[in-house]
Amino acid sequence: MFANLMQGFASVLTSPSVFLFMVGGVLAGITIGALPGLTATMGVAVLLPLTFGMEPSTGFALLLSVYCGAMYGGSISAILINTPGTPAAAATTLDGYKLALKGDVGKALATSTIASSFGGILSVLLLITISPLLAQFALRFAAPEFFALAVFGLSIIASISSQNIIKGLLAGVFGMIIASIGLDPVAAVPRFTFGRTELLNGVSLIPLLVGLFALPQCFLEMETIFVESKVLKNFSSKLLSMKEIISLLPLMLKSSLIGAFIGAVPGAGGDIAAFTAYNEAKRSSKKKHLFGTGILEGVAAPESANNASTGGAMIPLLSLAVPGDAVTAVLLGGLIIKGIQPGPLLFKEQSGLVNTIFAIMFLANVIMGVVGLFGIKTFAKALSIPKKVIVPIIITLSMVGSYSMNSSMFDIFVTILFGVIGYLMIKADVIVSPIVLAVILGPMAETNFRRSLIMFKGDMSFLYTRPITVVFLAIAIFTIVSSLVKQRPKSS
Amino acid sequence: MVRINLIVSGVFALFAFAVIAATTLIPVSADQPLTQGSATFPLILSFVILGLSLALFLTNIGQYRKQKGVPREAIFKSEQMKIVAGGFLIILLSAILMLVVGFIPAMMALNLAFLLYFKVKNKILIASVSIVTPILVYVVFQIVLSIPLPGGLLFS
Repeated sequence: MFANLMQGFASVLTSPSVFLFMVGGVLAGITIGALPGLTATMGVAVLLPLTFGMEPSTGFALLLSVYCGAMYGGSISAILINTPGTPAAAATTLDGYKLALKGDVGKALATSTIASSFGGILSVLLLITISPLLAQFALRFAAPEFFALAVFGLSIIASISSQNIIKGLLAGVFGMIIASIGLDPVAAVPRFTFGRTELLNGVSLIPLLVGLFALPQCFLEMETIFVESKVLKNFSSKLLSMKEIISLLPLMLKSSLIGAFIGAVPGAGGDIAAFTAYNEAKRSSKKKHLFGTGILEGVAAPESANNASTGGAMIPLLSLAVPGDAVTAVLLGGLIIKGIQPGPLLFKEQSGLVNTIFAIMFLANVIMGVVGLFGIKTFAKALSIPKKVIVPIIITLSMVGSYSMNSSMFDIFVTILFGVIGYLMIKADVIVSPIVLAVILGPMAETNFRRSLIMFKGDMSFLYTRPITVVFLAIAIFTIVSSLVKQRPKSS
Repeated sequence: MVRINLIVSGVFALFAFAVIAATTLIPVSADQPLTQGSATFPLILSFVILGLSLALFLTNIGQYRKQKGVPREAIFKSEQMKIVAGGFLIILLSAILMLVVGFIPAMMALNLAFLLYFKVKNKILIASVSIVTPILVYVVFQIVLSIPLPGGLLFS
């Protein structure tokens, strides 16, 4: 295993294009993350079409680096203007901005950089250790288990729809119906194509992703396009001393473990990881009264945790093909488009690619640390790029991205349609990420359910006679019920 | 939010009815007796949507009645909606333009239209973003990555 891993590192380090796209991806990711309103999901969705003409390793170098970079980039605006660039950086504002007000901007940003890099690297080490074991276990799966796994994956919708579970589930089922457009995966009978040949293969994933994540964000930005944003001021570049770094190490280790664990739980993303780590840091600290007043620990804990969630979220994605959150759902789409099916067989049949992905994620976090420390002032300037310029550029990239998948103008109109649907859903407080989860996992559930029926000659006893299937279905039911129970006091 | 939840439940219920109607157009497949057929899965999903819509309606209608007459904050503010509608129109017209004149002219028009719509005053910025962005994207996709971009009816 170690030798294979070293091969993965060698293939990344000896390929100039992979390395170059990794650096480019980190830079793009940090910039996207630093700009409030632009999320890691949107960044990955918009840049995904760029990878069509690339080798898989080069494409993943770009996408995974954007993912890691954006997760860190969110802290820059959280510290400088008290506005988290990404939801995962919301907890960082609590102490990061207070540090900035005290004049310790350089220290706050350096803490965020070191903690993010540390968390990311540690989570990749966990990913390397745990995911092959999980994949080995999943090799026992047949159609009924994959059906149950897909149902379990779909049950994540309940936990990511904490605002209103019913609306989240509605979005999820809507996504499953969208996924059923095209030829039926088992009988090859056309469904809801209305005579359009473009729909025979279903709604393409890229136009859907770009439509749901990029265009609505642009429409939301347009709403406040004439509102003046806060002006960035100059700041001191005094960084951390070695003593301060060493004193933060135990906290970063603990927070990274929390972050990686939460990231690996499907549905719980970087934002939950960051707040949990922050609360735990405060609870276990001797100076808990100072949390919220601007202390380094208040930045180190959430930043280690949110970046550690990236490696954690990749564990179920690679070994079980279950995305942990919206970004990994987009990444899963990227893998499928490249003809790569994640899951247990990936580790057996394409172990080289798996090791390359491990190496890319590890090195992306190292590059992020180096680039972050040397480019703090430059990235901070990204905040001064006016939205009026960014919005048309993102729309241009969205249009070209949705066209390039199938060289089809039809896809551009699909993107615009889903852009409007996504915008209206966001306005109505219906989250859109369940649609993506459902579009990816819906066909997996249907295909494996119907294959199971063929295997068992139409008998549905596989739902309660196969232990792994029963466990997954039980967890799925528990996830939905516990989310509903948790929400009940809120609504009353 | 209570009122919007009621609207959401209505919209999804209508969608479910439309799907149920559309499933009647799905042909019967050969494996229907064994695998429940091609229409069954979307049909089940439609009924799930109806159930969830009903649940959303019932959990909000009581609160809606209580809040009747209480002033509420508008979710769709008219000033914001005007800006968004204009932006949507620019995107739609550029897509139609792309069908005719191809990628570069259509995207130049889109960028120019947006910058003027957003009242950007700096002429150098307007010119550079409108011209450089489409050309740069074209070079990266068409030339570097060999991904074809639309040539349009006039030029292809």
